[in-house]
Amino acid sequence: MSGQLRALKNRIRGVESTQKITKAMEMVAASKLKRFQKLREQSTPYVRAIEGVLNRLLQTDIPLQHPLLEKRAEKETALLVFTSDTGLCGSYNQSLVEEARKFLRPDYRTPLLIGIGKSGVNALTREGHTWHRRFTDTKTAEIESVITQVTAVLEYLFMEKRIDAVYAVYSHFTGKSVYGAATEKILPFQLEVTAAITGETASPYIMEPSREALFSRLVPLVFAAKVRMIFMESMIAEHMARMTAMSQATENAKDLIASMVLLRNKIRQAAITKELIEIVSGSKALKN
Amino acid sequence: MAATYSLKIITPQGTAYEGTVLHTLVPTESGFAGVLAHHAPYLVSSKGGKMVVKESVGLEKDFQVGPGFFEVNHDEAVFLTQTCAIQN
Repeated sequence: MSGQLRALKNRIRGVESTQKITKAMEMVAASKLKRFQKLREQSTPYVRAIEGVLNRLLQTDIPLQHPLLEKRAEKETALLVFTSDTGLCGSYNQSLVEEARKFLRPDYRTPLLIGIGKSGVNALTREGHTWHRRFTDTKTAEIESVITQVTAVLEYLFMEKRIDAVYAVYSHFTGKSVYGAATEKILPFQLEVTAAITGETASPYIMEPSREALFSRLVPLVFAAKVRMIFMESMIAEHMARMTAMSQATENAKDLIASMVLLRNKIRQAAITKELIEIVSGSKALKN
Repeated sequence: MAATYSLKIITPQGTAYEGTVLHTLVPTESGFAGVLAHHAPYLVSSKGGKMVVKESVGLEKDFQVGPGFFEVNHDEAVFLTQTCAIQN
């Protein structure tokens, strides 16, 4: 009996320390989440300004051409898979890998794979897929350089006509804090002209060197900004997922501790009752 | 008092500079372009380099900027670039 009690006490202690760890991880995820949300907020003015310039360039009717916008028959494609480097974030990675698998069916032509994040890279490597480029164990300070590298690789492959389209699998926000794995075609990309602001630009812009030259310089920047946004979104989604998973784990640990404490008290009480019965029946036996 | 206009230097990492300025010397693709207040709407691409900003308070600031775009319209100027570092 006392052996069982001791084992239970040990388990309670174990679960308590696990709870402490999950609680700490939840808080770490929360602070990282805040940092990435701030980063995303900071890049919004840039994206908005770039769109503004783009709109002004597109306002005239003459269509503009750029190699990155060129639509070709999709013979060769590339697939970007964004997952996390570390685990413990619930079903975040599974759903992304699941989404990526849709592209890797045997009846499809296997796309060129570019992986970001160890989880997805490892999961798909186990299934026998090879990677064109992979970025794993990215430190927070290296994110900017990874973004630049990914953008450069994609641009190069697309311009050299090695690939005809690029898809990205990442966590896309569908609401304020709701996200889900989504696939988006990022190259050749569509330029969205937000309703032309009429009247405001009564006097035409002086453009240097020329409208076409400006456009050809702007398109890569728009693309880079898009890749950046995807990075940011998946980072935010990852930490959000980890935060939820960890708070769930903390909750579960709490429930587990509560039920084990109850059991412990029952066992202890049973032991006391048993001892009392023994004493009482013993003294009764003496009296008789 | 000379006329001033507002200038913003925006990078993906955030707004690197925001202020009221008298004059901006923009490194364009074909040399430098000086921009004063009441400039006609102007959109120019920059090859990056040194950008000199003369603030309304009289200070002169040098920035090392990456390739980007400079836009001015109705006395509101925006410089868009990937990188920007202040030099003094």
